[in-house]
Amino acid sequence: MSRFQQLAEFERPLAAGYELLPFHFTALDDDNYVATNVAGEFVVLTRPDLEAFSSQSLPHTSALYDELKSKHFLIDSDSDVAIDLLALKLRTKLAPLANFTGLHMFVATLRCEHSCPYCQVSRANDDRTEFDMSEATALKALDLVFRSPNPAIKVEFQGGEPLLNFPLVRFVVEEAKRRNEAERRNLAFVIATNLAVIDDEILDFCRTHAILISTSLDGPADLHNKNRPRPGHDSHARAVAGIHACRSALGRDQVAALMTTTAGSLGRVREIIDEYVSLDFDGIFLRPLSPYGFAMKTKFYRGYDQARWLDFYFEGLDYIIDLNLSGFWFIEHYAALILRKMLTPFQPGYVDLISPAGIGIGAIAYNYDGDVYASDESRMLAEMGDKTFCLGNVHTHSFEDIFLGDALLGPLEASFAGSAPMCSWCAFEPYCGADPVFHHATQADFVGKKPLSAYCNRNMAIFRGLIQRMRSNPDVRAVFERWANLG
Amino acid sequence: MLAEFPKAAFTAEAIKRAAYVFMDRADISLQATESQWQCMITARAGQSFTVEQLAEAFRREVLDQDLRLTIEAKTEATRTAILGLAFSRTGLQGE
Ligand code: SF4
Repeated sequence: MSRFQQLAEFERPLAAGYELLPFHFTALDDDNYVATNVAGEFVVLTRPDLEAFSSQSLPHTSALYDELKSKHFLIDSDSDVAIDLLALKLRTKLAPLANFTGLHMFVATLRCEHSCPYCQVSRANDDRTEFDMSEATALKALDLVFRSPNPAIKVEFQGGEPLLNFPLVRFVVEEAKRRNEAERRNLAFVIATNLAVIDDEILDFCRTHAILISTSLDGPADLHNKNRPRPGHDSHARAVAGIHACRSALGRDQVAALMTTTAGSLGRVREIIDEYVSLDFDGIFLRPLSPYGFAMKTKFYRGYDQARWLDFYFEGLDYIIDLNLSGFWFIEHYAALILRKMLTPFQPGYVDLISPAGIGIGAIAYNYDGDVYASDESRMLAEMGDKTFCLGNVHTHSFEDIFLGDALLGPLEASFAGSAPMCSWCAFEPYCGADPVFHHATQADFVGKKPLSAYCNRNMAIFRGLIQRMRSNPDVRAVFERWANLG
Repeated sequence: MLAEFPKAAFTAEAIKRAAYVFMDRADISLQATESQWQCMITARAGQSFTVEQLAEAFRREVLDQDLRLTIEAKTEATRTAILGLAFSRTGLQGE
């Protein structure tokens, strides 16, 4: 008797045909559709193939059948473990949610010696301490930090310019570390600073406590200085000097930079990227225009600007892809986050691209006065007069009031993408988020009408753009695979 | 411009979903006759498509929505089973 079945055994039509597993589809272009399953695996197929597959008449001998089967879009008599596998993959993606809030932002002060026009929160007057967080407020906020069950806690100092209240930063770091001797969490600290006032004492402290520096770099000097006015008009020079000083004191990888995109950035993406390359960063986050602060104030945020931003983004992305194809390793971080969702079983914890929304459960902000906000954007909105996402105050509300109250759970539940109109049938939903703060700010509605949403429009264009690029060039796919697996 | 869909082939749900997707480009009013869904398509101000192009795209969207509803109906039970299995082991569900 033969050890193996005859070849014909594998070629015979499967007696019971196949069953569809749940999937969604969305047009990729005029001829093709993207289909995704619940775990976010995707397939690109033509309309006739989509119809044949959906009507369960796709021949089992076709290459597409094999692809759909291996990616868990169908189940046949030969593949009965697909449901368990899909559940396992989905669970892997959902697992970070169970950890609850990991990122805790402390607004050490609203004072700042810069006067950036897009910034709603800072107070130019930098010698008044009424906008500083007190130690009493910080202690109450730390009580909440350690109530979070997350085994990895990141405390990020924000402002204004947090280094103008360095004594409070020092106090929080030392107190958090003291408490952590019993708590034994994986505790990390970040200071978000423009670096203008950093000095040796601060650098020594950062080195001792392995504190990460996150700074702002908007591009070449003229653009950066225009975005970030300060006495002396030397914001860029100070940022660059600060980056070098931090790297030599703390190590190259301890310094990250973020850009703010303004109207002045839009025609200059290559110069902005070149600035990051010349300063030896290994990537850039081409950030969207923010609807908060500057954009609202200057009426800059319109659909027209969104279209220009997409041109800016894709020109930058293609430029970065070309750098990689020519052998120079450089990452676009927003694409990398999405590609991690598309090409790996993992879910990056980026607050804007999570559903249920990342507000509150992904990140939380403690304002200088003890008010607790569901995200950094929420407190910006509050500075503009809208306190919808203020969850309470550390002095008057308990952990349960803040994290289980309607102010947080209401928008979380309402905006869940799995049940929102359009998102609930969108193929890109596994890669997308909910962002109730954005939709509240722009449409006065936590869910938002997605056909009118700049958030939806932008993300859908990027999802399509990434899939099209990796389909059309296997070398680009290889670059994307590397970005996705950075972790 | 009027686009018609036979009631025997398309549900109101498919047409309403398609109209929702089109809210940025067109106002679509829906009426029912004995045998047809009648959709009056009016282009919204300030967008670049002709009403004929909009009608063609709308027909395609209705077809897509119809197919989506068919797939949803066929896979509903499996989706529930997968979600049930996935959530049962995350610790995210209530007691
Ligand atoms: S926001 Fe838009 S792209 Fe994202 S899931 Fe919803 S419909 Fe899809």
